[in-house]
Amino acid sequence: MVVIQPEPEPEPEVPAPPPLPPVSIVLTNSQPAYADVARELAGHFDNYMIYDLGADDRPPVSILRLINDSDSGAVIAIGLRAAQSSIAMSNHPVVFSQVFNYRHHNLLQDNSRGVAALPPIEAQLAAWKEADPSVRRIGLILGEGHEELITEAEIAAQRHDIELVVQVTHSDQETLYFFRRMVRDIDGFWLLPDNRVLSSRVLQQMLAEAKQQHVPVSVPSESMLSLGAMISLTTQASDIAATIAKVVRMIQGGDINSVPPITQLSDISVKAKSAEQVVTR
Amino acid sequence: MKTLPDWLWSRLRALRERLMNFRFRGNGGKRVLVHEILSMQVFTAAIFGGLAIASLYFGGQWVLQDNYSRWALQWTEELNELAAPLYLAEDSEARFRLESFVERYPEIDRVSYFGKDGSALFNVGSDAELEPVADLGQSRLEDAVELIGQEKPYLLQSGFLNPRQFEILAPVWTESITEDDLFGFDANSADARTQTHLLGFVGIQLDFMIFHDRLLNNIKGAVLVLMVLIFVFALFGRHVLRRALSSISDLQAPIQELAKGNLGVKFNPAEHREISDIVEALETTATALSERDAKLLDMANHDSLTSLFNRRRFVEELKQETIAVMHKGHMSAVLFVDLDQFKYINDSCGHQAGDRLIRKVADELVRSVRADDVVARFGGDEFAILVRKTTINGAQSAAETILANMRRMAHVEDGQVFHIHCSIGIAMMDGDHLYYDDLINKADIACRDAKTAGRNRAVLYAHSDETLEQDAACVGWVNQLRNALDDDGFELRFQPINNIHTGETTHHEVLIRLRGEDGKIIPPDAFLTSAARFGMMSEIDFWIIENAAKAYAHYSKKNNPLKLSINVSANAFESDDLVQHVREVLDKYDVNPNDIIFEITESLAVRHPPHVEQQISAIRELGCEFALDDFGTGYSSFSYLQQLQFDYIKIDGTFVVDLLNKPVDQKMIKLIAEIGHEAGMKTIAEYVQDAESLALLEELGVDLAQGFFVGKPVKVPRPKPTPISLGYHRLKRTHP
Repeated sequence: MVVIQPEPEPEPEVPAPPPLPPVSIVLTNSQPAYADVARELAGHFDNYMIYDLGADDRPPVSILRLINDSDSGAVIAIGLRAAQSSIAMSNHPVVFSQVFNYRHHNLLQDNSRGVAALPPIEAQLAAWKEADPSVRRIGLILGEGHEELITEAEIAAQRHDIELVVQVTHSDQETLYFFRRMVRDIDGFWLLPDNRVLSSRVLQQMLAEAKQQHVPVSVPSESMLSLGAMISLTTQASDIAATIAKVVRMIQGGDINSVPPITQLSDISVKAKSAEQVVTR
Repeated sequence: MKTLPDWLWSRLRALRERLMNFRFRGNGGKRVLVHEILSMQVFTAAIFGGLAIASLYFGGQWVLQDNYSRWALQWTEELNELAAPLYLAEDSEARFRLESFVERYPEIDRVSYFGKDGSALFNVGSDAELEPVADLGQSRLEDAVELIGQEKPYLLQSGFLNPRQFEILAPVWTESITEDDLFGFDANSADARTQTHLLGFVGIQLDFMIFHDRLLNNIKGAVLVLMVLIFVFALFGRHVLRRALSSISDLQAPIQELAKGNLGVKFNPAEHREISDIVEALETTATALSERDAKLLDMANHDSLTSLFNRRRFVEELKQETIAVMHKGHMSAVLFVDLDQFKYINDSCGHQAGDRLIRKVADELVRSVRADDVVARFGGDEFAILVRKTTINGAQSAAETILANMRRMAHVEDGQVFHIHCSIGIAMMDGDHLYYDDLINKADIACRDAKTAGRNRAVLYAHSDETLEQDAACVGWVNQLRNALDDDGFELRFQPINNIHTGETTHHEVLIRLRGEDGKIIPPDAFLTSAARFGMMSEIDFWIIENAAKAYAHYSKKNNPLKLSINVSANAFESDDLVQHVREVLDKYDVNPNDIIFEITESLAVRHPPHVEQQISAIRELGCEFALDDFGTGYSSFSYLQQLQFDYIKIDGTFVVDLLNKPVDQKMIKLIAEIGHEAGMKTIAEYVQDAESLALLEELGVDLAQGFFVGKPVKVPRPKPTPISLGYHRLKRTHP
């Protein structure tokens, strides 16, 4: 494995951060994508409690009532179920992560803020272009409600001299339908984790057909590489944890309204099947 | 009402019946071997061809059905994909895509979409506008919901009798991975984390008519090809079969010729061994038949003793000659030759000596005439000669030559030398005298005249005034006899014949009478000579036989059956139909043959022994009896009695008429009676006029008596006992 380290930039002079309050970390379940983040969060907080909704026998309402009664300064929700439960029932500010369709689920409330579920768009395209310089035309299929993301992606693509073919769909079948229509005209397909328009069957078919058509596919999870994807562009748990800590600190330090609804990540993990390289930025 | 299996069974039985009765028939309604074999082969080929086509049809159907199912699954999936945006986003482009898809497949008649609750939403398709779609029923709805996530997520309905139309109902749903699972997506356990979302239902009507029609067209093509092949096969098979069976066919014409009597037919050599054997057998048969035919023809035309032509053939030759005389205008002559001393030699030296003499005379006669003249033996010692193309002088000269040669001829028998003379009657044939039977009669008359005049001479038949009158009278009789035959103008009389000892009637002799134009009854002596002269005797004999049988049927009683004795002339025995006629008449009137006796004259028996013997044997086999009539006057050869096996001997009336005064006649009668008894025959005495004669006849050994004393001829046959007179008893006492 080759680790590419970017040139270090000069760090600005900042005052020492104030100590963080006790937090409650609520996990949807203990899958690695969530557990890794929780593990990393432990390094940022001195006083915290972790609640695993998947492993705990108690219902979410009981757990949230317990959190509400505690001296926790904030609730960190990892995963959709944890976020939905926390935002609905918590008396404390909630910072959620690892939720892609936060708008669809209406997670942005007055006392809730989120951390992006994807690595920076710009970084993703840069890494892909670096791994496969020949890529010119990339297809992207998403469900509704991601207009900002699409706009950001189109700008980034333009910057990297890539034509982005975007299609908004409403179901897994429609996704497959459009995929089949576009797969012959693209150099690569950018698969984003919009679960609403992806089913297991469609996902496997798309990856199989892309492989058949020699179209490289970028996936948001390393586990999907085994299905035939060429490159995985994923977040890093440490980056997510640091970003969450930063948001908690911002909420803690001032008015929550001054905190952006979604805070973007800064790092990306790239794993290309052909070169097997990991890029961290 | 008949059920379908009953109806099918009855139709099958009717078909089998028709097939069993079905035969190819050729001309004449006969079965034709080639056609039968060929039809069997064609029928078999058609059956197998039909089975092959049926297999092709059903196999094709099965393949199509399988394909229909695959297509149905594929289209259902695609329509499912296309339908999702319509439910989720009301996307007009999605509707357009859907319609484009449906248009691409003409097999899709209509696509109907339903909401989650089964309510009809909209239709797409060729006949989508024609018929509104009903909402889905609850049960179908539930069945369809069950299909979500299944491998074949649709309900398929197709009819057995209409396999080209399908109806498909499938749920429309979306699947998605739970959001929490996508970040750690594991391909191996992805299914467990899939969540489904029912959108509605899609109904698809498919009509694969185009494929079905294509299949049917292919089947039709196959049927056509099969029919052509069967036709070609039939033609070829017909040719091959005809060739194979040509050996048999070639036999057809010769066998038909053979059946027609053409025994000289030639058979082509056969190629096949089996047919060759048949041809050989047929040739052998034809040869044997030809030989037998020649033998029969020879027997029919020749006299067995002398090999000369017989009477029948002589008459044929005479007929031919009359035609020649009529056309060419020349004259010919018929000579009737009768030996003068034959009876003496026959009686004294025996029958075989008589035969040797006859053969010698025959040879002499043949030598005495020209090669193209015809010599025939009429029977006994009678010969006839046709002298062609001659004059009266020529005929007389020919007769003189015969007489001279006969005078020179000496016949040695048992050391004795016999000189044979003959009497010859001559009848000339010219344009005015052409009737052959008449010519023979005239020659016969002239012959008798020659005998009367002292024998050993030739006499030319002369047309004297008396004979002319007789001829004229004969012509009158001919007309009257013809009318009588046509109009039943004859009548029968029945004269009893009684047992001489008991006086009881044993049977009746049937006698014929002619009813004259004035109503008077004419006795047979007046017309039978003319009937014989003009060849009507056989017809009269047949009339008598039939009417006697009719009388038998009318008068005979069960407990006392009638027994009749019928006279039959020589002419009847010349007819080949006599036996057949007797058989038919007896059957027709249910006559017991044992109750019928046929009487033939001694002269007939002597003249035609072989032919008469055959006829008598055939009639005897029916059960009838025979009596020899007028015995003692003519040839009186006792050897004939044994040869012909008579049951009765009728002693000629000339011996009986003056019996009381002629001891010679008494001895003659006694001798005949004794010989008859020895031979197992009964004797009948005719012309019994009185009781004395009757008594004497009894003493002489006679068994039966007939005559006016015994009973006169009567219309109705009834038993009539012999009258008893006083004189009878006296005579018995006085006569030793």
